[in-house]
This record gives sequence, C-alpha cells and structure tokens, in this order.
Amino acid sequence: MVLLGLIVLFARMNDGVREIITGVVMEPVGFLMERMSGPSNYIHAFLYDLSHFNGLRSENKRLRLEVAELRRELNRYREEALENARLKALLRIKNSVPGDFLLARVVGYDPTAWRSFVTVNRGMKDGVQMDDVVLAGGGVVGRVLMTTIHYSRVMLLTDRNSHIPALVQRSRVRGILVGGGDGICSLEYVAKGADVVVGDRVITSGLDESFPKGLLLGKVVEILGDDGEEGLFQRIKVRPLVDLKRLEEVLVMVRPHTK
Amino acid sequence: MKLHLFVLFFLLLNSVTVSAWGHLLEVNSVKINLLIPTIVWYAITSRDGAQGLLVIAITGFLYDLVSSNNIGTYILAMSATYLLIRYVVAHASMEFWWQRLLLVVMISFIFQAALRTATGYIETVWPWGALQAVADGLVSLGLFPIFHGLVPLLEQRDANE
Repeated sequence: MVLLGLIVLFARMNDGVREIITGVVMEPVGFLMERMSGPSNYIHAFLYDLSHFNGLRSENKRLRLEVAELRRELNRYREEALENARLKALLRIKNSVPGDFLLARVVGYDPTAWRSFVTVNRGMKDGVQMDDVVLAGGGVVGRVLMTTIHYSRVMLLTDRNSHIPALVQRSRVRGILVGGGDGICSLEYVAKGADVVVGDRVITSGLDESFPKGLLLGKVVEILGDDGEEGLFQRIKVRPLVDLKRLEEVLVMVRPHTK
Repeated sequence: MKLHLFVLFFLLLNSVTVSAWGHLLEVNSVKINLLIPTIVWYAITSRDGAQGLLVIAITGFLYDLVSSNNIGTYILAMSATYLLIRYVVAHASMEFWWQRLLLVVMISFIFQAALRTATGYIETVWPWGALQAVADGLVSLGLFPIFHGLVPLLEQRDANE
C-alpha cells in the first residue's frame, strides 16, 4: 500500500520536483555505474580477446607484414628522393657546361685500397672514350682511363697519378693539381708569394686537351711553405668539391668520336 | 682438384666483393680483404705446389684485370707470396693458431710493401701497410677455422671421384 501510495505521489508530482529527485538519485548511482563499468568493460574485452585470440594473432601478423611493407616503401621513397636530389645536381652541371653528357652509375671501386679508381657502367658502346672528363655534384671527379664495351675505369683526381692543369679562380694563379692518394689534392708549382688564400676555388685551366677551362676542381684548405722555408714553391692543399668516397652517379662528358 | 677450384672461386668472389663494396669496409687505405689470409691458408694446406702456383697465378692475372695496376703486378706479388709461404712452411712448424697468425701478418706486410712500392705509394707502407697486415692477421683468426672445416669435405669429394 505504501509503495502504491509512493507511485501515485510520484506520478502526480510536477516535472521540476521529479527532476530534482531523479538528479539526487542518479548522481551517486551514475558515479557507481561509471566506476563499476570499468572493470566490467575490461573483463568483457578480455573475454572477447580470448574468444578471438586466433583472429588477433592472424591480424597481428597481417599488421606486422603491413608495417614492414610500409617501412620498405618509405625507405624506397627516401632513396628515390635522395637520388632525385643527386640527379638534379648533375642536371645543373649538365646545363652549365656545354657538351654531351652520359649519366653513369658507379659499380665498383679498385680492390687495391690505396688507388683512387672507380668503375662506371658506361663504355665504348655508349661512346665513352679514354680521357673523357667525369663530373659529379659540385665539379670534376676525374677522367676515363680505360674503357671496355660496357664499362669504364675512371681515375679520380685524388689518385697520385692524376695531374690536372689548374688555376685559382680569384687570382688566376696557375698550377698543377696533383692527387695526394689520401682524399686530398695539392696544387703544385705555385710560386712563393703568389696570391692564394684558404677558401679560394680551384678550376681547370684548359691547358690540358681533356679538361675544358673553368670546371670546378676543389677549394684551397691549407697553404704551407710560404713562410720563409727553403724552396721555390708553395705547398697548397686542395679538397675536391665532390665527396669521392660516396660517389653513386656521375656524368661522363662525351667528346665527338675521333677516328 | 676441388680444393684448387674452391680457392680459385673464392678468391674471384673476394675480388668482386671487395670491388663492389668499395669503401664500406675501408679505413684510409686499410681494407677488410680476404686475399692474403686465403693465400696463406692455401699455401699451407695444398699438397701440390705447382698446381697451387698455377691457381695463384691465374687469380693474380684476374686481380690485375680488375684493378687499375699494371698487368703483372698482382701476378708477381701473389705468386712470390705463395712461394715464400711454401718455403717458410717447409722449414717451420705451423701447428698453433698464433704461429699462423704471425705468418699471415708477416706475409701480408711483405705483400703490402711490395705492392705499395710497385704502385708508387711507398711512404704508405708505414703505418697503413702495417695496419693492413695486422687486419689480415685478425681476419685469418676467423677465416682459418672455417676453411679447416671445409677441408675434409673437399677431400672427401675428391676421394669419391
């Protein structure tokens, strides 16, 4: 009878009073419901996981494969972006220097560790000849010393047997750029007192038939022997503009066929 | 016969690998190269000196072709190295690993000196030639046990034939 009375009383209440009472009840109940639903959801999820364990394992495997595939793709895109940058640099040279060029890839180095030679994948069939100039990135890399049908051997300008007539771009002082065998070249036969400072750019002088005038060779990094020592010449160290230990693509400057 | 073919193939593979990997395993002019340790092991192991010399000469010729050195540099250096090892081994016992290690270091240093002098890089013999010799010695420590493990297999195949 009391319960029936309460129901009737509740039904006859106006909306405002009913909302207040509902609020008073719902707030603590809701709080409890919220706290209790956490473990419940967790248990439910756990039971769900258990029941779908095989599916999860296969999904995990699939996702791992997908991640590996995406990583591989990402790496490929990175490689292509880097290659793109290198090729653009080569293209800039190609546009700035007159002549016909062939793009070639470095496929090997000399097995003799102290020799500075690389093998590129262009040869006689592509029109490459002995003494053709090879360029990359910022400037001259070396010259072709030997060709076969599909490959050529390039002597880098750091090899000790490399001698290139050169001049200092700023002061027009002439010398011979000789490979040092250790990644550095030296500009030789430059008289003491000649106007050369660290940071000067060294370019080809054009006196050699192979190298056209004005190709960048390197930068002066050190000057020795200009301070009262005996001798006629300065000792000038020149660092090539191109990192010759990381060559991947080069441009071979092809001359017209000589018969 | 199998042993000779194995060494020939292995040295050729080594030359291609060293060329293709370029500066990957290189510090200045010291390179991880299996050439000298292999020649030393081969000279110690092979019974027939004449056949061994022929194999080394063929390999040297191919090394000359792959490298930028004048033809004859590797043939002479490698053949002389092989004969020198045969001479040393005929007069000294090489029972222990450290004896073989010292032999590799000594032979490699002589080889380096000869080759660097022949190619005009005599002043790099010290310290780079010496460091290369030490590197070759260390490589031989890992390489010789593998090769020794292969010998019975190669000889067994020979016997079967």
